[in-house]
Amino acid sequence: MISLKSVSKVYLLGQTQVKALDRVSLEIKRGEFVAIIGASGSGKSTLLHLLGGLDRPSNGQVIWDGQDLGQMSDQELARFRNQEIGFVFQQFHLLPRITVLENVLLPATYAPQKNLTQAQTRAKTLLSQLGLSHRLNHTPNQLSGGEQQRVAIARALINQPRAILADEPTGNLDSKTGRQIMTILKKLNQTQGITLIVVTHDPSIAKEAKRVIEIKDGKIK
Amino acid sequence: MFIYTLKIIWTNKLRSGLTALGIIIGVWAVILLVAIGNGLKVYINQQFEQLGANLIFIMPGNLLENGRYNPHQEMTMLSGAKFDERDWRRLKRLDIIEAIAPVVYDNARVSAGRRESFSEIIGSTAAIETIRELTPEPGQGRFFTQAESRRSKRVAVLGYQLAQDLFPQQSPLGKKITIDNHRFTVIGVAPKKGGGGNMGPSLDQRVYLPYKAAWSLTEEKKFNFFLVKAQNQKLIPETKKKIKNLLSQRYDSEEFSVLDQTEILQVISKILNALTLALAGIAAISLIVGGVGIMNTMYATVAERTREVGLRKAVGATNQDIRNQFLLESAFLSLVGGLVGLGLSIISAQLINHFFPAEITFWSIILALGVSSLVGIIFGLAPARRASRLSPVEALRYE
Repeated sequence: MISLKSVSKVYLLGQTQVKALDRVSLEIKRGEFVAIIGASGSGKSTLLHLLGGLDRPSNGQVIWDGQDLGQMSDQELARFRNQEIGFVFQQFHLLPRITVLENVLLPATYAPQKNLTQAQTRAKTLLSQLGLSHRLNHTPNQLSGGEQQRVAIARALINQPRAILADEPTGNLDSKTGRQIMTILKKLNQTQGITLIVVTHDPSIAKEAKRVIEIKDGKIK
Repeated sequence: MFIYTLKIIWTNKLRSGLTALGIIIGVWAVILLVAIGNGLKVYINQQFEQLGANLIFIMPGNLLENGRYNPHQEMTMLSGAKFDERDWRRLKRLDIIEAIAPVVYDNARVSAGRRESFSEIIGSTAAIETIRELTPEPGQGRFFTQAESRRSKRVAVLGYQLAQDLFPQQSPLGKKITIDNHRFTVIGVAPKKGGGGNMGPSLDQRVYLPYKAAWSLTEEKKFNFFLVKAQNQKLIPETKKKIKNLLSQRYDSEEFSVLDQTEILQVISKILNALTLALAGIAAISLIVGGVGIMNTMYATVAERTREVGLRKAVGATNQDIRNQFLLESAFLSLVGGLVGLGLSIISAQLINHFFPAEITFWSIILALGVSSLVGIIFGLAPARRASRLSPVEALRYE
């Protein structure tokens, strides 16, 4: 179970303090599919970053199965992200100079117990499940947007995470491709029980989630 | 990780090349200068060997202080012992010595007709002929005899080059030359000895006279130094000891020096080593400049790849992982620069060898490569730390 206890996040923009999140508390059960919606600048991405251990809260606690992320060192947090979380971003964030296969393997190279031959087999399986087995040795810029996002999903899955955190995963795709990507993510949630948290401003995507959390001005509505 | 580094460096070929250029030039300069210093040492050794083997020099003044080079050479030579015929006779009586030649040394104007030259005058006995291997080639006359040197006969043996300068396209044998208003008859031409260039006056510009004849040119009837030939290499220390004992009866130990070739070579080696070190040190400054170039490029690289850093952190890279990645890149750049510089220095050493001695030593290669990878790590450290400290969220947002 993931729980946020009165979490606030304050940014410094020059001299002024910007409150991105204001005393947010919520609980997400394992295996849930949750959509976080809100206007741009509402704090929904910040919420996702805090949930995934990419950032630390200014106040309050982010707790995963009893573990307080705020108490972890930078190194422990890196390991947590590596082992427990798969991120999917709007801009895909694939490294341009390496192949599709190498991109998928990237999290495996940072795993504490490295087994790259095993990871390679797994990466190939994932890519073929996502319909990309013919693209293994292409570089990302040779791929369409939908293909790139599928590579990113395979990368998120390589270390068998407990949760996938997706920040506007369809934001850079046309609606048809976007639906395909959402279908893949939903299927992972349903068949493998992976917790799925999706940040979106698209109501049609939010409709598919079991639960919708709306953020406005840094607070849950 | 290593392959990724190679890919990155290869993708930015031009920039990587320009960045490594500073290191290339630095390593090239250091190795080459050390090579020239070493080559010079080897060259001087060879020149000394050509002087004749098993030589011992007896000179006025204290040239070595406790076995080390005395920087006040000139002073100590002037204030030192003035050897005379009595010293010579007594030294000659030492059985251990194979041959001894007293030397009267002077510089004078030598002329033949309208041609003239300012030359080194060596006044000695017939013994110098064998010690210095000065026997004229067939058809080039002869060296003066023992009897001629005793009787102050006005005869002269010219150095190979001097003979050509004073008597171009004709034989100097039997011709007259004038040294400081004294007339001498040329009886021989010494064989070609080499030397000269930047290394001091050539041995081939000398004039050899019987010592008593040379005394007519100098104010005092003294010898400037003695040249001694020991029986063999092993007897050199023993010979030197006996000479020192003998001269100590008459002179203070500060007033004369007994040196063999190895000691003289040691003095020269020390001077050359200091010179080489100084030059290499100056060249090493360019390595630092090269390091700053690497630092500059690495800062640019880190800024350019901020989003990559963010992504890597998001998928689990620790700060150390990121730091090591960029360190590997800068060290690799620098090491490749070092290797290219090494290659260049080997090629240039080959080219230089046609004109000037240059010899690349093993330790200079190790040093240059070690220093260049170290430069990469040191100057890569600050940019790599900056990258490792980036916040993943901000790095991912970076445009």
